[in-house]
Amino acid sequence: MADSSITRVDVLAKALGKAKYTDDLKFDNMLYLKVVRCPHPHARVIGINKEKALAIEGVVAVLTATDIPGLPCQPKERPILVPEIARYAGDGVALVVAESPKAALEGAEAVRVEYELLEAVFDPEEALKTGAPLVHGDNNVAAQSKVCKGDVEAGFKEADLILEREYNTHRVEHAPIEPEVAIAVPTFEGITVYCPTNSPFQVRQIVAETMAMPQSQIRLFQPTIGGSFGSKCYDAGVLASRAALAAKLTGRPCKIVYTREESIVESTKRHPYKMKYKVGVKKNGKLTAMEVKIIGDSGAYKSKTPFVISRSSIEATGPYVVPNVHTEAICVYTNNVTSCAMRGFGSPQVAYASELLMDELAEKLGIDPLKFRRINGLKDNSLSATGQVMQNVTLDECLDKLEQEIKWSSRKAELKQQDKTGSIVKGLGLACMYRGESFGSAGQGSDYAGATLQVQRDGSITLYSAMSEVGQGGHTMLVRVVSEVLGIKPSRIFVSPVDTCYVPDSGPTVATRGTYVIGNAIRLAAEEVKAKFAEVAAEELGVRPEELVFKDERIYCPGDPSKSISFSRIAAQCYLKSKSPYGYGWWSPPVGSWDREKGQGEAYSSYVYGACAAEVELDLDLGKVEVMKFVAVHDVGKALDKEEVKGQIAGGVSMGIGYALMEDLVVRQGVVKTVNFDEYLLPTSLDIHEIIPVIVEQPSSYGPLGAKGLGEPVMSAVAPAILNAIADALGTRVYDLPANLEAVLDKARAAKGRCCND
Amino acid sequence: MIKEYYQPLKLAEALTFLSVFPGPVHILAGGTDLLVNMRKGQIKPEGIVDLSKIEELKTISQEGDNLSIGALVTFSELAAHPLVQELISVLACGAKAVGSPQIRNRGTVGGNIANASPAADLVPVLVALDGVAVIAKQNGLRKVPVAELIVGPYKTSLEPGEIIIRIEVNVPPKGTGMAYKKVGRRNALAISRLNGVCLLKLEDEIIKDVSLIIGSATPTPHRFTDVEEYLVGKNISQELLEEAGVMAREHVLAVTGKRPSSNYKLPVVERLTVRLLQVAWKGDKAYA
Amino acid sequence: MPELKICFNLNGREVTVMAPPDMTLLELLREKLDLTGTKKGCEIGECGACTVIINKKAVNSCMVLVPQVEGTEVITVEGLSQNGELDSLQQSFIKNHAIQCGFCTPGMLMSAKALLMNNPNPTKEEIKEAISGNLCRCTGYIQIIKAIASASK
Repeated sequence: MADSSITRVDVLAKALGKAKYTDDLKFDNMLYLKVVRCPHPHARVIGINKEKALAIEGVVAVLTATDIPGLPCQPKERPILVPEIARYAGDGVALVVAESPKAALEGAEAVRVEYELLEAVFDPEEALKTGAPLVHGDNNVAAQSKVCKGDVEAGFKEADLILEREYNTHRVEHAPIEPEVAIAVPTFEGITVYCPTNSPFQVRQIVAETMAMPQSQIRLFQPTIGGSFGSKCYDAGVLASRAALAAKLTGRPCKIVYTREESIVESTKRHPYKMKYKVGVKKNGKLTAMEVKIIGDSGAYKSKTPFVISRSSIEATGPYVVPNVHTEAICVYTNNVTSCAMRGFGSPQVAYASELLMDELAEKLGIDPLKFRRINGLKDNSLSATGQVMQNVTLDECLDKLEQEIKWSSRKAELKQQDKTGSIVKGLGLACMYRGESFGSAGQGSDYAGATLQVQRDGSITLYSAMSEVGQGGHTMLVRVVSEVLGIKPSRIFVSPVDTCYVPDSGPTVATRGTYVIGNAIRLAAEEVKAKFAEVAAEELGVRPEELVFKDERIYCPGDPSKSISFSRIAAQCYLKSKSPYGYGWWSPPVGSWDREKGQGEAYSSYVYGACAAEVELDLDLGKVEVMKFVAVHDVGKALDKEEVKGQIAGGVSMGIGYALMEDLVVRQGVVKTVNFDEYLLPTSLDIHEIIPVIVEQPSSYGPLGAKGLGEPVMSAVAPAILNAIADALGTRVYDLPANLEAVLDKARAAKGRCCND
Repeated sequence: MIKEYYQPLKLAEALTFLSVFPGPVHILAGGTDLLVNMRKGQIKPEGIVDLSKIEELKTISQEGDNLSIGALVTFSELAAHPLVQELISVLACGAKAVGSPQIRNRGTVGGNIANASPAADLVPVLVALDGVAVIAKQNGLRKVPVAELIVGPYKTSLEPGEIIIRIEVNVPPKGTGMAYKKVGRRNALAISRLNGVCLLKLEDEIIKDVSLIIGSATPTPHRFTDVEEYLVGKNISQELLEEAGVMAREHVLAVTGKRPSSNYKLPVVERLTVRLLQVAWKGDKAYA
Repeated sequence: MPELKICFNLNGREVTVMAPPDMTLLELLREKLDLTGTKKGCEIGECGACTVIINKKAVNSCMVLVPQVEGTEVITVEGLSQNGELDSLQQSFIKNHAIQCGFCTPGMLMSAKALLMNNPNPTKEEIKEAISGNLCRCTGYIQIIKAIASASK
């Protein structure tokens, strides 16, 4: 059953336009909010004059930090409203509450805030210098992480070739098409918040802290979500808290919905990194040592920076055997917009650097780049950079499939023959990736999930879990797992919306942990029900429970056709006989040992692998790159639905193409310049050419039904594969992202021997 | 705050309204620029004249050597019109280069001119065709070349009370080679980083006539007459086109001076010029 | 200015609404008529989430003032299915896994519908062109293009 394609549980309503997203909800007597933001990157709020705003017809209230009954924020986190110091141009200072969106907007424009401008810092390296303006505390270090294995100096001595390179990755936007929104409805018992988020319990916690109310009195309901990619975590918490604050103080439902401009100015982004790599390699292609220094821009607040940087340092070498490793990663506070989680979570940046590096090493040694990856790639029982003995490594399988699909050697040879005298040249490049699943031992947070399952009297099933359906098909995956365990048709299984009143706290749907952790919890819940039902059925049928099979809505003895009873009949029997028709599952991934000082140990209990190739066409006159063909091979463990998996992969590739070529969140002196989709450029249908997703299935020892997480890994290897293809076409390299018109033209002209300023 | 929204069925009614309305009034054609600017609060009209129901402004017709394009013709209509495809295919190319199908279904030829964006996709084609805007006001018509009507970035010499009602362009003689190219950061929904248009008439390999514009390179679109003059009368050759490329680049540098964007734009202006001429010369699709 | 009275055909029915002249069609649909299937993503005509069909053409409803729809025929995603029967495009989107978060889906469907109304057998290039004003952040477009192609057969 697991192979068959079932209709996703959420798509009919979406196709009809009937799925209710938060902004589609209306409540009687509802008020609308507008945020007054600090336009300066660093400023002290001296005074807030509300008078003019309050005089506007329809304006009900103007709220500031002094109205917050609880905490404006945890230390070094982004405040719901700024109590004193605004740390980036976008920090919320006041909140206008009005009868209509229009009145709220007019009110926000009328609030007069007096600021004392403070010296600001925008460059992470500058921010580390003594005497730099301080964003928080007594230095600007947001987080650090290290991985040290062996002796890098000794490793470099062994090397025949040492290469030192610097790579810069840029700041990008999640850009789900649904902007941030929240509605808070005051109730007699507390507050109900409607909010699209992938982190319902974290959002609830932030609201509870803001309101100084017990978490149990905050009910967070998750309507349909219009995409997240990591953005709807802390950002959602801020919106939800603002709505809750206004709702509690006015006693009326309050809606806060951002325009795209507000969303881009205020919301968190992907961390920009500067990465310095020094690597040693022998003539035979074997890596001997790698030294990595990463400096990342955390922006104005802490957010998930410590976890992002930790993952980056662990994965910095790429999926390769490097005997001696020294990685130091640091993230720094600046007065830029805040960096936080974004699809890939610290992986894409280091995958970018390490894969460009591998390509260049191969080139310098005259070894085919694919062969070079095989020489150094992790294999079963290899030691990773953190000294972990790797198991179930599928990098070679991924490379095999990639080699076949793109016909690597013959295509390479063909392209070598191409006429490069004209304006259009082609290139082929590849990149590999690996990624630890879920949070891991290195401490991205405690990792657990609970899930419940209730069989109704008619044998239909309701599932309760904190799995956010962010469009990835998470709910359908749960249905599939339960369907498989209990032999029930997917159409008879209903997934309850996420509502913190009813579903067990399972952390967020992030870190590629949805399938892995929540999927396992629901599997355990289903198995509990199976065991209970088997007992009841065994009694009815006069057999032993272990003889029974659950399939096609029936429970039966395979050997004896007369011993068979319908699942729904047993469900009814449970209720009749006062037996529990509930299942409850709680699952937590195995935790390995971790030495934080050295960054050594079992960083993650399992890893996923992938290999990608891009064929690009470059217009040397214009600097324009087209990704004509992209092959993405990923080990997904077990494809619960192949077409859904392919959709996830294609989506990741598309986002990666944007990352590589056109997306660029421009910030000048702390002010975001690309504030809507006319300037922040996502790939369109005409920018995506052929994408070929290829699935490798090496069942996971941990994932439900052998499935592995997929959402994040698919993004990591895209940009480096494209940049390596560009290098193949040009004969010279672009090291910094994005490879936009200007960057590519510059290199193309340099390659032709023309100076960029002639 | 809008005090008056007027939706006339006849041009004359629109002109009368414009002549009597006291406050700031804006003309609504397709709305694709006006609504964006209203939302940003950059313009706050008190009166709006919505031309969208005036049928007489939506026609395309051939009049002798001219093609007359109603100001309210949308980009989609222009691109799909048989006369355009038959006589001046480059107009269709320029119209298709605009943003997206949705924008092309609303945005109008007249609006593209009146908005006067230096990055307009269609305007350079109109200028290359020596397009003349026919402008009406309550007591008369005037005709102004599109190139003169646009006086600066987002600035025209349109006066209060005036409406562009149609654009007349020369139908190029049979056998004229045409080329249009847009360079954007992505393949749809893109703002022109640069664009260009070229019309080329040869007789026995001698350049009889040429019209060349590189758009989005200068504050206002205009024919590169120095390059054109250099080319006319000469025997066409690859070397000549290369020279034209260098001249076009010099032309842009002379107009704009050195700017941060020059590092990218100047070399591309050169190559784009060569390629436009090549396409117009040989119909070489590879460079289209 | 007082509200204007606007008459048009919406999803096959004649409707008369009162609206201020500076209200966009998108706001009218979502706020006054409770047709929330049409989504708001950028409000400047750059994302296509608000795409509806006016007189057989796909347009961004955020770029249309309500008075401009006077006398026109407007179709929104809610008007796609007839008598409880899904439109072939809706069926095809479901069948071909063209929907992930679903926020771009209504606009995407309307662009596709406008294409098929005017060109029942489009090429792949024509399909890509037709949805080039609709941004999707989830799917990479591949399955959407496949779904439209399969619905046009």
